[in-house]
Amino acid sequence: MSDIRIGVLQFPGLNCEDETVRALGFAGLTGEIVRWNEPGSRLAEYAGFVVPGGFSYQDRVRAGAIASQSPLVEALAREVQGGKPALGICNGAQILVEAGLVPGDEPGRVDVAMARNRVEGRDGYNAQWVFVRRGETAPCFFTEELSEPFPVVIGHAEGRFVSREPGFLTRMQDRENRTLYYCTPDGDEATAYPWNPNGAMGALAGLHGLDGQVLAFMPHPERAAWLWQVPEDIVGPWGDRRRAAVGASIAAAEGPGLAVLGAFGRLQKVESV
Amino acid sequence: MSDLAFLVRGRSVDLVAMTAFNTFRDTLGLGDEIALLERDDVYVIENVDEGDAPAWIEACTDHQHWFNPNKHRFAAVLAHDGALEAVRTDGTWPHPWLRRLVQTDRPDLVASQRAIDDVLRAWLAVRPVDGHYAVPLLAWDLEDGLSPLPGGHWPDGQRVRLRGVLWTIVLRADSVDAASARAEELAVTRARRKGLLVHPHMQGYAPIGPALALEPATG
Repeated sequence: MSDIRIGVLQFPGLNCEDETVRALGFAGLTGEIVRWNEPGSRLAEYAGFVVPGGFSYQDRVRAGAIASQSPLVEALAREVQGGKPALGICNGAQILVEAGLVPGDEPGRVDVAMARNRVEGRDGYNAQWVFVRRGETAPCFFTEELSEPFPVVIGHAEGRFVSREPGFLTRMQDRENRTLYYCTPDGDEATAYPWNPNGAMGALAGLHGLDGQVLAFMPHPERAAWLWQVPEDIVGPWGDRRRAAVGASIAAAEGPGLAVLGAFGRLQKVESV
Repeated sequence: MSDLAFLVRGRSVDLVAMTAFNTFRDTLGLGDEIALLERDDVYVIENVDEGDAPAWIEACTDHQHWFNPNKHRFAAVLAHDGALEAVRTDGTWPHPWLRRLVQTDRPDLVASQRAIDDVLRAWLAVRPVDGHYAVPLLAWDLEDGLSPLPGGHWPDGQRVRLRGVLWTIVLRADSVDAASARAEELAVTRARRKGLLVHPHMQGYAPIGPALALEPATG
């Protein structure tokens, strides 16, 4: 395990922090949980951050709304504006969006919402495997190593990127902010359920801010960090790898989501502060 | 024809409103400014003949999963014609909106022929305090606000209906206008730590009339 320490921010109601720490460990990193009531100055110890999934504050008012107001998120904003990367997964993504860190064109301004899932054929909470691929030219810290569409799992009721700002999606695409989008197993943009699982505009699965240092990603890479987590019946190369894996070796085989978390491995260790 | 507004409030602590209030007070440091935050679910049924209102109220109280008399209180209020139409076309809600209380499970609200503002003050259960105002702000989902309400046993299944959340922010201010402006600033999310209750990228919102002054009775 490397000396690169990643702070995993925990707010009341989040429930994926342990899995995230374990997946970071599998990627060779040291993940440490930072609780919401710890001083924000502690974040200076870390090279990067993950805000994991769950239901912060029971999704009261809106998913991510209460946690986004916290002093710890204010401290996170200072750290990422100083150049450190941060990944928000599912509810963590909702928190980053509510905090105006994604897309973050103007510091702190909230330009996008995570609305309730709404796509023909499916409304409401949805947990399923989907395929995601990176925007061809999106310059994002977390997606540089991603070359092919990969399967990953979602589990959310409010994951649909929407914005009332005229031309928002076009602007995001022009500026290459469309970091990750839902696609078919062949890699074509998903235009309908089930490949677009929530009706997000532009099939957005992930949107980045601050020149690619911050990523709000609705699927759960930590639930696809090991190959054994991939369903045997999934199509495509990852399904082939899963079906071919036998014996004890599968326990140590990397899954498709690991590359997202493993991006932190390119960081330098933060010296003691 | 009128619109029928059906307000539903929990009999016990509203954890959503309490958490939002605590966030305003403690996290955002607005404890000297905000005195109370209340939340009602609002269901509005369009174009109800006033003579049919009791049947609609019975449908709301007896046949819908979003009202349980063991958990909730209700107030059914007639609103002016065209309210939903106004929301649909230009996003505003006409003033005055609420016109007359027609039924409630709170007898104290109907004990006398009170003005609708008094009824609203009493429903909100806010204590009169000099310099404080109650600002009711209605929020609704931009995409499904006008969809048919869930549930069954409606007298007429074809009506257009609205559902939303009525936030009432009680705050200290220098004037009615200042109270309304500040409440909207606090409610509508524009940036981190600026606005909490309504997300304008997916919700519509409108004040229901001017802020209510909460001055103690004199004499």
